[in-house]
Amino acid sequence: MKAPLAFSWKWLAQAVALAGLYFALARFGNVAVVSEGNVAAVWPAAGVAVAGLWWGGYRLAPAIALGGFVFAWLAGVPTPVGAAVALAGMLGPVVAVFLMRHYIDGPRLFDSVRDVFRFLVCAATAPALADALGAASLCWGGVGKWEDFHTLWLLSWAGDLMGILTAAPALLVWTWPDDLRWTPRKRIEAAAGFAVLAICSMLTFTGRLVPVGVGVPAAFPILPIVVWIAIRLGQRAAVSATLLTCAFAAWGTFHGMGPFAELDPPLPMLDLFMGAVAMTGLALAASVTERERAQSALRESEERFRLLVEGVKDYAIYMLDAEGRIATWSAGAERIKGYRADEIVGKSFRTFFTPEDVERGVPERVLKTASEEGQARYEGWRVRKDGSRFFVEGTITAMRNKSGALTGFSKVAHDVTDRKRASELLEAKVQERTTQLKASLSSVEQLLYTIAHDLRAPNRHMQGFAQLLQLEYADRLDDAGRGYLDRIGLAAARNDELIRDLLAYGRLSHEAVALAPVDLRQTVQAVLQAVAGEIQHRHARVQFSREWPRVVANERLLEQILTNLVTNALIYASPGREPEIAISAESGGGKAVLRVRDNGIGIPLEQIDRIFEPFIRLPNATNAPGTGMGLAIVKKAAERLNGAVGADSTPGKGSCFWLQLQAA
Amino acid sequence: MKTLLFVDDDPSDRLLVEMGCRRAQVSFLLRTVESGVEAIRYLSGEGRFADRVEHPLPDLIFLDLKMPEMDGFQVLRWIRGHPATRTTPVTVYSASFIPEDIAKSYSGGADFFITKPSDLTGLVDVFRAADKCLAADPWNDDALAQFSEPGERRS
Repeated sequence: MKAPLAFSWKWLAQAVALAGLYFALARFGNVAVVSEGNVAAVWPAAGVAVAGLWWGGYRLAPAIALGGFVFAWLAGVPTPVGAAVALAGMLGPVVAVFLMRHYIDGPRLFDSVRDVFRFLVCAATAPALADALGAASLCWGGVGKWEDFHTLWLLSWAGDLMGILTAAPALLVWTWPDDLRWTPRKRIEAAAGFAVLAICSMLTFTGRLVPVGVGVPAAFPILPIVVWIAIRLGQRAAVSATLLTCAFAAWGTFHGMGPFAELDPPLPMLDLFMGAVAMTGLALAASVTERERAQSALRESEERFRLLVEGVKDYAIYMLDAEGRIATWSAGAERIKGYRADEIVGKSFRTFFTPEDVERGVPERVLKTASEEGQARYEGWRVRKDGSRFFVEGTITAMRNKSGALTGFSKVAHDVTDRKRASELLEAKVQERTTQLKASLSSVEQLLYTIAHDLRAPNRHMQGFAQLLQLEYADRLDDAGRGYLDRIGLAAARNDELIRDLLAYGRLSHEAVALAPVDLRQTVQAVLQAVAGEIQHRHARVQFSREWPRVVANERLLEQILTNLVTNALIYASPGREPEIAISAESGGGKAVLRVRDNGIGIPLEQIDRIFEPFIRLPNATNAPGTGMGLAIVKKAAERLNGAVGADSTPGKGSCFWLQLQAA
Repeated sequence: MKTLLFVDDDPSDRLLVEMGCRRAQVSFLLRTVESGVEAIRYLSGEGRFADRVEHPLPDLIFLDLKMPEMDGFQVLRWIRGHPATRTTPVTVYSASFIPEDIAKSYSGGADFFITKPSDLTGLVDVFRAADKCLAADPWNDDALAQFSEPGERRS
């Protein structure tokens, strides 16, 4: 960027042009010089200066001073005074432009009402100081009198303000492009508007044809015409109309014509009128511009929205009014539902629902949910125009105006029939397979049960006949023979036990288990009674806790678990110690925990996670009776009671088995 | 003399029961048949069973459940459906111990359910108790208590 005051031919040309224009307008403005001093009532040169500086930058400021000086010099003002006045005349526009640049967002100045009033403030404040200096210079140089300083200052300020308000906008607005579309009708309207304005202004300010009276009210008829032009014909027309009116008003008044000429003094009223016209024109034009911008932004946004909606082919996007009638339609909606816009708009959206759903009031429920909760998601079968059905998933959103009243609904729906059918098919398949599996599982279970059942008979017979041999043929066998018979009997008994455990385990997996509150104390007592013989036989001591919570369980399964745990505690006793068993229970947090603690041989740590698996027997207890199914049955039974089991153990010291159940 | 009719398709079981009764030195007359169909023939006195001296109507029936052609439940229904046997005590004597079979037996009209003992000692106990029951006429509580004791399950 070039330095502001760097010399260039372009700058020189601009500066000379601006200085010339300034000088010319100063001469024109000087038509209305008040006899007591060199002060103009309207100083359009100030407007030209502001426009020039805004457009060309501060580097053109010297041109203004030059123009002002030449004007003063030609008017016969002493050179030092002329120079001072010229500098003051330059200072006003410079400050005004500085303020405008600072407070108004460029590059265009009059596009919003807010900016128009900021411009007014800038135009009013900036010349106030400069004109005080100008007036002082005149008085100091003897061109004016000090007692008139106040009037001189005020008048020159008003002149500058009017000049800036009328001339600057006219010059600046014309340099910017106009949004208006000039249709032939608009051209005729513009011609008519300006003709009417010109005729009325002429009649009012330069003729005496119509006796309209004196003062501002007499000039009122002009205002509606300016308003008309400002509203209908855009910014350029508005500033031009203002300029035209003000020119007529000023010229007429200075030549002793029009409603202000007979006033004494005439200038304040003239200024007031011009200010009002200029501000009205600018503010209205800005307001119209603002509204048109907003409207065009809205149109653009609507157009974008429309293009978006029309571009979506896989979703039906449309709107309903507050009663559920179709308000808008889209290509996607047509594709999915089969209706053209002219066939469906205005009809109720119930049309899309199946008769069953309509009867059940589904459409109303969807609207109700959406209006109550703001939005509702829905899915279901719908009917196309051709009667075929499809499955939709969608969202309906209630739309409300500023006061919260329901204005309608927007809907976005997606045809997911394929997915739905696939998932239905899958579900049916899964169902079918599950049924098949259940059937085959049940027949396998039945088979296993029959096999296990039938396997028991040979065992029974082996045991029975071995015993008969022992009893009835003992005298014909030696000790070895009787020993073999013992072994046959024991093997058969063990086999039978194994089969019974397997049957019990298998049944636990699938039999129905009814859960109910169970008194833990009674169950423990029943189990201890059942194993009382064994307890006595092994000289075991059994201790109990005081608390016995009620639990949710099945009495039979709970007995099964406890019998296994207590029997284990007895069987896996340490060879050197008499068994001590402590049974305790506690509850809290909706759970109850039952513990069976013993002082037996314990469980090796590396085995503790495996003991609940079927057929696991501990290496340190291979001589103990049992099938290896006991704890597997315990675990399975605990699972069926919605509970859990576990164990802690110190090998050589003892184990603690715990059973956690739901407290009743 | 009282008569006990034992119905079981398994010859080993029949032999074990015969041996068990002999060892228990029971005083009742033991008659065995090898199927449900034959049990009904016996009870209705058909064919060779027409001779009621040789084949008297039983005072107690032991009935196996799992039998080909006609199972224990069907035989039980027949027994309870005929005037001559409607009140005859029936003991279901089966290898089964599952609750469904037990419940079904009682609801079908069985008086007792005894799971076949897996050893001879248990078997002898059962028939010794049955003998006591039959000897006590009418059956009294003491005898019944003894009868049901050796059985593994009696709900």
